[in-house]
Amino acid sequence: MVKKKHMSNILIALLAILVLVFLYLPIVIVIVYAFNADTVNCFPMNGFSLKWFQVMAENKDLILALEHSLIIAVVSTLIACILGVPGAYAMYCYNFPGKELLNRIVMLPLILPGILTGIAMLTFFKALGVTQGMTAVILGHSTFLIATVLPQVYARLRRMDHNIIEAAQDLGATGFQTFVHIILPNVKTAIISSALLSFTLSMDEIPVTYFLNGVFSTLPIQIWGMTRNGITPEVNAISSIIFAVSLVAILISNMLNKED
Amino acid sequence: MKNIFFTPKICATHKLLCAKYSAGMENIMEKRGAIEIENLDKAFGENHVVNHISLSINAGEFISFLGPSGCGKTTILRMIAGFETIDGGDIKIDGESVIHLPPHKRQVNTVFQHYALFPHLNVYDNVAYGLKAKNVSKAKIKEEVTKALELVQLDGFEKRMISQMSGGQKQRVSIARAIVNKPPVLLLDEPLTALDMKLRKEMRYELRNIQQKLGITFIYVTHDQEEAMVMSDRIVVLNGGNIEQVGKPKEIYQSPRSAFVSDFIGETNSFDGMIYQVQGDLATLQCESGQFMAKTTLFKEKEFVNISIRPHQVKWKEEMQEGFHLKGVVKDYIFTGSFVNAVVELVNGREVRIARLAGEGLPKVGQTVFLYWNPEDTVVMKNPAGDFGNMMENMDLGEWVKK
Ligand SMILES: Nc1ncnc2c1ncn2[C@@H]1O[C@H](COP(=O)(O)OP(=O)(O)O)[C@@H](O)[C@H]1O
Ligand SMILES: [Mg+2]
Repeated sequence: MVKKKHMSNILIALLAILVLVFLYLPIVIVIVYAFNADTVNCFPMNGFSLKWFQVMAENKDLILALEHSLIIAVVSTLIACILGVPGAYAMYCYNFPGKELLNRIVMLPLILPGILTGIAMLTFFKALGVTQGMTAVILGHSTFLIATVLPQVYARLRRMDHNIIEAAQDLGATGFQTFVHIILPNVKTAIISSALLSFTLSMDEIPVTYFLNGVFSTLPIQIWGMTRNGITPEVNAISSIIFAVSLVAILISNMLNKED
Repeated sequence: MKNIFFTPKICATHKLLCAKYSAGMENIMEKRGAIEIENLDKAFGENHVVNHISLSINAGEFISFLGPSGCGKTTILRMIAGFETIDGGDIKIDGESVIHLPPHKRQVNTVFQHYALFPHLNVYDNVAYGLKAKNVSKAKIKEEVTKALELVQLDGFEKRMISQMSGGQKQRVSIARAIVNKPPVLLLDEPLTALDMKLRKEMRYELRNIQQKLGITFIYVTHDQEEAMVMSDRIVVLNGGNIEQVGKPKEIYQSPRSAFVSDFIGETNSFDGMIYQVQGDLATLQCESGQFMAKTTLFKEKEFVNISIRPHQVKWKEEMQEGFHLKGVVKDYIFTGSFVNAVVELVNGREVRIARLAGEGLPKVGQTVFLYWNPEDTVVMKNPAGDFGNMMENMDLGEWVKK
């Protein structure tokens, strides 16, 4: 009996390892090749080198695309927070019919295929007279990033002790003071964690961007273009950096979410 | 009645501090905090929770709202604080209607049932919050917070986070957080229910002590009649959104005006007696029905007191227990749900109620038993009758325990 259990545990562990390998081996290979001294991706490698990172840094188009991506990610994350946090608070404070439905609908842009969201936004922005370009991309990203910020902050608010809001008012705090002094600090970690997640989501967004960018390029679109003629080691280099940054962001985000 | 509420221990540590604290409060002590509730009405949908009640609360009074769970106590408190709209009637504080004011503009502070402390702030900042919200200067805040923390005996805990505090300490923080604002009225919603019995008993005295020293109005919500009895100047007994009776604890205890009040208050066995001997904090008492022990540090030998003990805390044996001489005969059993109430008649004919879980082994009706209890379980109050003659008259107080 005990032995059987032992066996099944080992099998489960093996399966888990296989799944992890399947998921992460490609990424590991990309990272390993980023430090390859050779020009072609093949084993065995001929030595360790950082030269591809240098080549990457000297690629003006790539760096410009990175700048665009950073601007877009930072600005749209900010917009998503500025709209999403008060939005979540409003949803928390007021009861109205269809509130739970709204909470779910807000998530739609995350769940729907990006291509659909992209087309929808393109059509909508055209109708509004917003031309394709940086502004359109930022607006587009902000819209779907709210979908990460609002539900996370709302969920945290619902876990918060509701009485502390009344306690603050009881002590003479106005609605605004309550929001700044009491609500914000208590959902702070949820905000930071969803902002980090938003940032990484925006950094590697392709479909929505593709419909809205017009002439300029973002990092993922640039990389995608570069790989059309085969994967170059400098793509491996930039990919490794993106992976490292995303990993750190997501780890922090997870940690903060677990905090309470 | 008042002086009995201070245990010597607390009195000693508190006297100075309280004196210091109340000295700064003279300006607000000019009889502020009178509340007039006129024809107050509230319904949640079909549920008529508060039914046209009217009540005058004097400035500086300790008044308790006593009633079973769901009778509308919290709702009334929330209407006074401004968290609940009212459906009819008026609430006046010091003569001015407050019903149109939002909570943050009302001159009342609340001690919440589950503390509702700010988890992201330390003890100091929690207590300081009310003053900070009103843009009081930093130096003044420090002075006031220090005083308030001393008053609740939490000096030295300023830097602690709330999660590092015990239940009793949290309760003190929430009291300090409220009184630091020097409100003329303090609302307390079952502030002691989350504490264990021992701490609850201690805190009763401390709360009463603080109220006396600050001289402000306390509106204290509880479903615990014992608590209301020992703390309040007056008790408002509520039932289903109606006021059943308003009066001093003794009035309500001695002449309940309705069967409901009688039932609700009468759950306790009460003896009038005289302190015969004191050893440490244990007193031996003598009364008409016999002799027994109680725990108290407040009284001296030869003082007349009233002792109450809850039916479920009375124990029985076939032999006499040391310190107790209460002989009786089991007269009847009354079965109520999962409990059974035994009626034991003592030698002088007075009856004592004993509650037991149904299904426990019980002595037969007619059997002789000796009653005793844990001296800590008793509540000892000063007997307002005072002299022996009056005491004899009050002896048949036990009569309505029968009801
Ligand atoms: N916000 C609310 N919405 C609907 N019903 C409520 C609300 N608050 C209280 N009640 C109802 O009002 C009644 C009285 O509640 P409450 O004042 O909390 O009683 P108590 O404090 O005496 O236990 C209860 O029946 C309760 O269910
Ligand atoms: Mg209540």
